Amino acid sequence: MTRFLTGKVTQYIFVIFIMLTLNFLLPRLMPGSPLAYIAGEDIMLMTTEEKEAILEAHGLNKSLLEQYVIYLGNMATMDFGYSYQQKMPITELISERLPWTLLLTGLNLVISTLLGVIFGTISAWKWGKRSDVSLLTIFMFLSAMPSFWLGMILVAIFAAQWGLFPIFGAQTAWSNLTGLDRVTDIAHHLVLPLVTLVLITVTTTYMTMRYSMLNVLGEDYIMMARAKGVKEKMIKYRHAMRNALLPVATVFMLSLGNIFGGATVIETVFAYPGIGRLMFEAVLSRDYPVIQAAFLIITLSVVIANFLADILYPILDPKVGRNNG
Amino acid sequence: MKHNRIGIIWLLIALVSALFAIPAGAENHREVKLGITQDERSLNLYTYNTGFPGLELVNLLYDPLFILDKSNNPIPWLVKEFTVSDDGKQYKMILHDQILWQDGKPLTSEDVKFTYEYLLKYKKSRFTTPAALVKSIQTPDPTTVIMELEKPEPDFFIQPLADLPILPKHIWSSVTDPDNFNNSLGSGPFILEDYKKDQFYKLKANPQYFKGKPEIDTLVIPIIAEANAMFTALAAGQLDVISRRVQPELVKEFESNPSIKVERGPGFATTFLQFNAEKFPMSDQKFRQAISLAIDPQYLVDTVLLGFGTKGSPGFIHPATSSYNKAVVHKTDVEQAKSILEQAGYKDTNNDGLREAPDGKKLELVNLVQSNNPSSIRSAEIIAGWIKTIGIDMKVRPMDPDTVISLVWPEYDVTKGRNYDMTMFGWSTTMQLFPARLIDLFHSDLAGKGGTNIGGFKSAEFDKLAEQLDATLEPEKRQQIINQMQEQVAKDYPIVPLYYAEEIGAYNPAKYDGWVFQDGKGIINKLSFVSNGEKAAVTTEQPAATPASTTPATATESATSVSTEAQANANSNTGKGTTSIVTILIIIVVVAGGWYLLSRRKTKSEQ
Repeated sequence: MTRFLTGKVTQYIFVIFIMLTLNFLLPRLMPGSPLAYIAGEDIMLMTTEEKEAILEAHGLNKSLLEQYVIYLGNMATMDFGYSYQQKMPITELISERLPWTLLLTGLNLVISTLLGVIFGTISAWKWGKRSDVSLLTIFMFLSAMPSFWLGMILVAIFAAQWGLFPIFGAQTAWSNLTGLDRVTDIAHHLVLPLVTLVLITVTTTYMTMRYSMLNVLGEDYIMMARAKGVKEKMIKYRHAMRNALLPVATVFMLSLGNIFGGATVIETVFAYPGIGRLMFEAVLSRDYPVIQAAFLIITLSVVIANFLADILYPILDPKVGRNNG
Repeated sequence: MKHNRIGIIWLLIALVSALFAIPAGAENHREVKLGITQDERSLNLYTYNTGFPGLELVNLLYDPLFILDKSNNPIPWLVKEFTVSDDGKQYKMILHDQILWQDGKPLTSEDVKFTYEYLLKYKKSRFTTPAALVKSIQTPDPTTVIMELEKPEPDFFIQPLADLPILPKHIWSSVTDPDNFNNSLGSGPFILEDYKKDQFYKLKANPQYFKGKPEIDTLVIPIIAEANAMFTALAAGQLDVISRRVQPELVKEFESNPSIKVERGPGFATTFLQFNAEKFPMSDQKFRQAISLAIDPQYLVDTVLLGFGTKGSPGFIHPATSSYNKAVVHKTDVEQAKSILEQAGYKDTNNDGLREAPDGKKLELVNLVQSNNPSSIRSAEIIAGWIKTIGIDMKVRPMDPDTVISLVWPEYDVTKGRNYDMTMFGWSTTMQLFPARLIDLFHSDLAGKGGTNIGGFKSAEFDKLAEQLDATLEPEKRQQIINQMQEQVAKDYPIVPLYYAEEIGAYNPAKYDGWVFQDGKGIINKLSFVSNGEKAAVTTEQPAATPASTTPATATESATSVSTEAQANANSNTGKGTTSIVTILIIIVVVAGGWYLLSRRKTKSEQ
């Protein structure tokens, strides 16, 4: 087990290093310069010296290697720097955005996993019957829908047409609501983006659960249980569902990795102030420090989730543990 | 059991509906919600982000000495009366009495002097360059400002006087890092009450405003980057007005919405086909002329802009401005284009239907288009088709906007070269406000006067006219030279102006109906936000600033702003009805399906 862990840790440190390097290089390899966004509309009127002064002030006229060394140093000390465009510390910027994304994606993870497991179980249990076919059709249909399109349809019907929900934002910030009113307001704003996200992501869990459950149902011990006259409910929940949950756990862990950055499109459609939208805006404006910090958080979360999945799997499934240990 | 379950579902639905029922808030004061597209940081003249709407918002909090009226004529604002010396070098201005900063302190000539000098010390290019025209400022008393200029400046009223907001000396005199100073206390009609980064601004009316309290009590300005979200929010009544220009395809839909009014008029943003005049064959005037002859700008206006625009004038200047030369007209003639190319030696030597260069080499031309601009892409595709009919092959290549800029205008410095054949490009409104900007656009001195000559175009005749314009003060004479410059540009084809898209604004008249359409800018401008009395005074008192310099006269007849009354439309109701029916059907199917599944399960388990 120790050898397994050491191996994994080395592997992941290597991945993180590659990721940090790409994170540095990719935005800089894109054509275009952040200069225009730092200087704003003044750029057209600026003299060459004034432009040079700006590049100098932001360390952008240094060689790529020098910038890379500084970057690695900053990342190691968790100093994410200052946003070129927003002119504020990135830690502040991210700490404002992160809670909204976590609220949205966290709830989505819980709800879509639960719904996926429930419907996947029902579907497999009724394999080939009308309810299975109907559920399968609905979920296949959902999985084929682009998230922004679904989001826009929901907005058009429930927000624009019927006026049931707000169209943009995470809260009616300017009303200065407090207490329960504020919670209700936030929930009100959350409904449409959350529903969209759940509808888009639930399919993966559903499919995994259905497939895994079907496999389990074909196992000998289920037949044995049936032969022994164990109650159907007992077989379904105690024997089959529990064992079928293993691949779902993997899906869950991988989705956990997406918790920081998995809602970019939804956040854009609903003008939701999360970290996905922050990153999207940063890419558009070549705001290197923000891109670096946001990508770092997102990629780290994916790597950590993978690492956790690697460690937890042998515990969940002792068979795997024996093979590796 | 079955009934219980269905009962619980209904109870849940009822609870959720009750929770989210929108409270009908009765408001005593007038609150208007204005949607903008991006954060404009703290709203002062050092920190705002964009020229529009950022600077417009700054101008709700601060005041310049003059402002531009709806036809873009400069009129006095903080200034009560003024005189200009005969040589055009001395401007004497008397400020209104009793103008107060929003903290109650008086605004005096000292603040004006301070602002102009501060901008030279801490540079802000947009304001510093014009402010540097002032040699010295005297303030003999608290309301008198005397500015001495190095040399006469024909556009001095427009910039800096009608562009540069005045800062309070008592707040800014100790500030040494203005780019990061988050203070927005001004003298303007609105006071910044609340601001949450990336989310919203909240402005409240300044009760002590020297031109009277505005009609709007509270102005809430949410930031919504996504275009669709903004349009939907306006249509659904969650916003009352938007700063984003309404897309042509949405105009009909908005006009049919009884709660929305659409206001439109001339827009001064110019879209054109730019040639890289330093590269063959774009360096050949005959070649550029042939391309121009193959293009039909009116067709682009009708199809790409759905008619909401004006076709490009080959002299660049918008027909709705007073500087426009009517004699300059675009000509479309495919046959002439072909014969010009033929005579200039561009012939199809290998019979593949496409012309080769006079030296027999294949012509492979690329037109760069910014991928975030669907109208430009569509126009470029249509143009490519036209050019093909005269035997020239031009590929359209949409790219990320920053990539296009880095190829066309590296580091926004025309002396750094260019790497393209042709590009679809645009200049913003301000370019049309100053006819003298023609010099920046087409002068051959790239390191000096031709600061925005992105095509590297060179013409000795044009340069000569530019020198003449610089040396001329008398308005009529200047206009004559500007007319000649337009003719010269129309003869040389450094660009092919395609169209000027209309400014189209939309708002909810039930919430506020005091919008003033400013040519080239639209309804989001300072005049829209001042008191009704002031608005009436501004729109009737004409003209104000008419010194011994060029001041744009009133706009031509084509500049009429078109206001479209919204009306209840049967079509839109049918559309709404269909959506509702489809949604209801989907809900019925889902509920019935669920009920069927539940009941089946129940029956089976009972069996």
